[in-house]
This record gives sequence, structure tokens and C-alpha cells, in this order.
Amino acid sequence: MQLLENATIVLSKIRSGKAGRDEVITSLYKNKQLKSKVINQILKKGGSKEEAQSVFNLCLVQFFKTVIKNKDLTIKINLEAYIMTIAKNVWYQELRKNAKIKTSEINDNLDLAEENNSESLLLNIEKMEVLNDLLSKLKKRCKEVLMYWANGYNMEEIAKMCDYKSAMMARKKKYQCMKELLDYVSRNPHVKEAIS
Amino acid sequence: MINFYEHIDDFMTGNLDEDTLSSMNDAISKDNHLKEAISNYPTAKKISEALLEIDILEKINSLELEESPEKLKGSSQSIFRKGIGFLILLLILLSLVVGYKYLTNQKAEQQNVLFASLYTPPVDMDAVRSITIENLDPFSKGKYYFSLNDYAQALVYFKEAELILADKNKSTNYSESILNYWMGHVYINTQEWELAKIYFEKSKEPESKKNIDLIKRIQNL
Repeated sequence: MQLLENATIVLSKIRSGKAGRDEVITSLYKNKQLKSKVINQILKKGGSKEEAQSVFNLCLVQFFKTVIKNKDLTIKINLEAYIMTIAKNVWYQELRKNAKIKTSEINDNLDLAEENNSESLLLNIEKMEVLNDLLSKLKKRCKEVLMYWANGYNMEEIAKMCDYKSAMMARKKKYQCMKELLDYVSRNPHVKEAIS
Repeated sequence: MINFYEHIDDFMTGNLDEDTLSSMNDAISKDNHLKEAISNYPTAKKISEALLEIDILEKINSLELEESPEKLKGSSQSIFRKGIGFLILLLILLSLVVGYKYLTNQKAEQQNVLFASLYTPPVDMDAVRSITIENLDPFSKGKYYFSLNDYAQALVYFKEAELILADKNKSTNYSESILNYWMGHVYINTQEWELAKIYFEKSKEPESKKNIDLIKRIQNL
């Protein structure tokens, strides 16, 4: 609860690396008030319990991704309201995906205000399944370096977060991992098709 | 010798100096593997970006798993306990309901017997004699419907008569006492004992006391 009340601390913890990020995920996930507010919002909009739980999880992912990818992002409204807005938009995106609602109706309901410039998610269950094999082959260190690089961290920051001696070492690791990944995509054209 | 794979990032983002760019373009045209790597680069970057989503989802999944065994453990034990508890509670409730119904039925039956044997309804000859009900005043209409055992309709007209009586500008051919008496009879017939008692108590008609005593006897059963 206390963590939710201080948006600045939350944002800096999320951006600080895995430990800080996991701390905030745990705190938000276990925040019963936030969870029930999001779930009730979706139930009121006609979603089922399962859909509401799924929206809650996805809105957390979208929230973290938005904070990490947008280093200058500050939250002017309170954090709970911000997350609620993301949840609402995730729900409308899901409806649009499942064609349960007309696009015009969604656009009328989407909150496109400044406070809601959230990053859209790349993954869905099908894409996750396609990546399962790759994820089992890619080493943990590679995943970390590639993940931070692709989400906007510079080599100095990556070196610090992943315990490399220098930015140069981080860069070298990133090059090796990227080559490995490119080779994998080259050998598995269906991955390219599924992800693109 | 330049390792062009190390420069794919800068090539894609347009950050290569002119010489390296020219060399790279040259290498791409000759090296199919490098060409393929460049074509796969956007996919690889997307996958890398998605690794963050996967990492967060994995953490959420682990939190869900942490929660669910506790829930399952707690719920399986409590479902069993709740099941037995619920059955016992249901049985108690059922026996209470049956017992209560039996007692209330028995009481209602006794009340009906007593009421039927001791109650005498009022008779108003004027109301019974009336041919054209439209010409009657509300009080008489009430009495007329009472004589037909239509207590709901009788009450409507008695209430109207009550309003007329309260209006000091209007004169009536009935008193408050007689109106209360009739209303008492409406309520006694609908078995609204307390209301009936109130109206009989407000009435000064000689028969009222008899009816109050009857209600008290019925209530004391």
C-alpha cells in the first residue's frame, strides 16, 4: 500500500533492475484493493472472472513495460488510477481482438490522454508458445542482456545491472547473444512469421 | 577485417560512418548470411523486447502458483468442513422451519376457529339496500364493499372517508367513531390484529370493546 502511494519510488525501483522490478510486481500483485478494483471494473464491463484476472495480469505487464521503455515517464495522477486506466484499455484491446465490440465503440472508450501513453504488448499465448523452444535454448545471461538492450537501456546501465566489468563487456555479450538469436531465427523461419 | 555482425545495430539505426556503411553495403551484397541476418534483425529485436514481457509474466505466474497451493489446501480442507457444517446447518434450519410452520399453522387454525365462533360482522342496512352505488358517499361505499367481503376496496373508501372527515370545511353524515369502528372491522377480517385493535380503541361504539376482547383472546393463543 505504501509503495503504491509513492509513484516516484515505484518507477525508480522498476527501472533499477530485476530485484526492484520483482519487488514492485509482488507488491502490486498482492495488493488486494488494486486487484479487486481492476477485476470489478472488468466484471462491470461484462467480462468473466477469468477474463478479469487475465486483464489484471496483462495490465501489470503493460504498466512495467511502459515504465521501463519510457525513461522520462512520470505519473501525474495517482498510480492506482493510472493502472486502472491501463486495465480498461487492455480490456478494450482484448474485446477488439475478439471482435466483441465495434472498433468505433472502442475508440470512444479508449483513454488516449497524455497519462496513458502505455506500450502495447507484443506477446499473446500463441506467440509465447512459438518462443518456448527458443527460451529454453537461450542462456539466462543472454536473455537479460538482450531484454535490457531492446527495452532501451544503454550498455553502461546493462553492465551495471548484469554485473559486467564494463560497457564494452556488455556490448560484446550483447553481440554474441544477438548473433545466436539471429541464427536461431534464420534456422526457424516459422518464428519470424509468428512474431512479425 | 571488419566484423560486420558487430555493426548491424548501427547499420539499422543509421549510425554508421560513411566508409563503414559503404563497406557494409558491399559485404551485404556478397554475403547471403549477413543479408539474412539483417533481414531477421527486426524479428530478433522484437523477440528481445518481448523477453521483458516474458520475465514479468513469469514472475506473475510464480506469484499465482504461490497463491494457488495455499488456496487449494485451504479450500479442500474448508470445503470438507464447510460441507459438513453446511449440512448440519441445513438440517437445523429445516427442522426450525418445519417446527415453526407446524406451530404457526396450529396457531392460525385455533385463531380461525375462535374468530369464526365469536366474531359478528356489522350490518348496515342502508349500504346493503343501495341500488346505485355511484350515488353513495365514500363511507357508504366502504360499507357496501365490506358487505361483499371486498375488504381491500372497502378500505379504499374508508380511507377516503377519513380524509373528508379530517377536512373541517366538509360536513359528513358519519362520525369519526363509527368510521373507526368500520375500519376496525376491515382489519379484523384481514387478520391485521394490531391495526384492528387500534381502530376499535379509537372508536366509542359499544360493540368495539367486544371486538377488542376478541382480538386479545386471539393474540393470546
